[in-house]
Amino acid sequence: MKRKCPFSQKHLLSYFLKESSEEKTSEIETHLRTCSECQQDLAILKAIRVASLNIKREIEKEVEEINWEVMARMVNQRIDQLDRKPAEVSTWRLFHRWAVAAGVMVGLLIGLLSYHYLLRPLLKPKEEIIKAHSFYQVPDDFLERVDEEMARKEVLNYLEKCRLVFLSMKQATEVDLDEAIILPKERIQDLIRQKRYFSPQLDSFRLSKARQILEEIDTLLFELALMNERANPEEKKEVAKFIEEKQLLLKIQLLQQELDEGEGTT
Amino acid sequence: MEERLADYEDPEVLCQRAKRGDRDSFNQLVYLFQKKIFLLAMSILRHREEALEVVQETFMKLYLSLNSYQERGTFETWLMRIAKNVAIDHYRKLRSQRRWIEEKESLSSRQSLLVGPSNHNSLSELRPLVDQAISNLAEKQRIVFLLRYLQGFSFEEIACVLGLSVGTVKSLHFKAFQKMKAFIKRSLKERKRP
Repeated sequence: MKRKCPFSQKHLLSYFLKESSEEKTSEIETHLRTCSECQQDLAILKAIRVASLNIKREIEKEVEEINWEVMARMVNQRIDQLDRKPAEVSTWRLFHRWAVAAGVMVGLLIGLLSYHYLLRPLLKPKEEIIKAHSFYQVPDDFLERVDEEMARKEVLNYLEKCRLVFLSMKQATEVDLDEAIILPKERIQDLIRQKRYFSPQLDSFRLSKARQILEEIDTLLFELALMNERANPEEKKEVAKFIEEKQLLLKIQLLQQELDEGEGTT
Repeated sequence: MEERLADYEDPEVLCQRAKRGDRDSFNQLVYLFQKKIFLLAMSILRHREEALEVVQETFMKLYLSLNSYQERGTFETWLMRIAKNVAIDHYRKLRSQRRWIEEKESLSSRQSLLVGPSNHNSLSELRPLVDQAISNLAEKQRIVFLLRYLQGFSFEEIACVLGLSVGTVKSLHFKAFQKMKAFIKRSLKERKRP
């Protein structure tokens, strides 16, 4: 393989670019007379320079061919467009905001109108049909009235049972005061339980006027519940006296009448 | 126009007026520098239409950034730096497409050298190789070489435009020549092989 010339590697380019010292320049020029490799390299470097100058000339020729007046006008036009662009953008943005707002308003208006004129008429008959044909259609106070009627019936039933107990006891005392009687304890206990069940309903269902009589009945029933099953004559007298004094049978009767009359009107 | 150019021929004065919104002064700047920018763009791109596009884009950028001009260097250097950046952007966009074209050209030129009628290296025969050698240079080397030989810029002017030191520019210029010489020599050797 042929060795590369040290001059060509190190100094030839500096010489060509006129960057070498005077001493080095004369040394290279002497060397160039004998070294074919350096001659060839120098020729290449010169060719590069000449080719570059040719390229430059070509470009300059291109410059002459261009209509620079037109070019300047084109630049101006593009800059005019640049000047106009921000205004267009802001106008568009303003329009865009108004368009969105108007769109929302129109949407709301259409929604309201369609509900009012389309949906409501569709829904209304349906509601009316349900009301007209429903088997479960009842007045608002229907359940309240049912409860009140049931309570009234219950009170009436209770009063009747009490009346019968008290009447039997009164009749027993009237027959023979000295003989003991057998108290119907189970019935008395049942009546006390029944009273406890409907007692809370008395206030809420306008039966409060019966409360006083019922309280007196309840007291007597408690007394009777505390007595022995076979009541002695003294106890018998006390019970009879209580019934008499309080006029319980009469009061029960009157209350029964009143409750009977109120049937269907409560 | 020429009278007006005479009135406002100092680019610094024109720039100050353009900064204040004087479109006439801006137009004067366009007339003054459009050819120079075209030469610079043409040196980098070697494509007429693209170079014209670079001229327009450079003036648009100049118009938008007039207020950011600070009088540190000369107006011309600042404008040339803008133009160089725009041209490099264009060059990078075109590079992949261009590489393909250059490879094609390279192949055809090598073939023409191999089958050429004369065997001696005339300057006209070396021209396609020089074109290829320029294309093969690294980006900075290529720009330094082109600004030096196609634009006739001094090393100081190149340093200002590229934002490099004069020493770096000289080094890039030297390496560019070395690389081009090596490329052409290698190509010629390949031509001589049987």
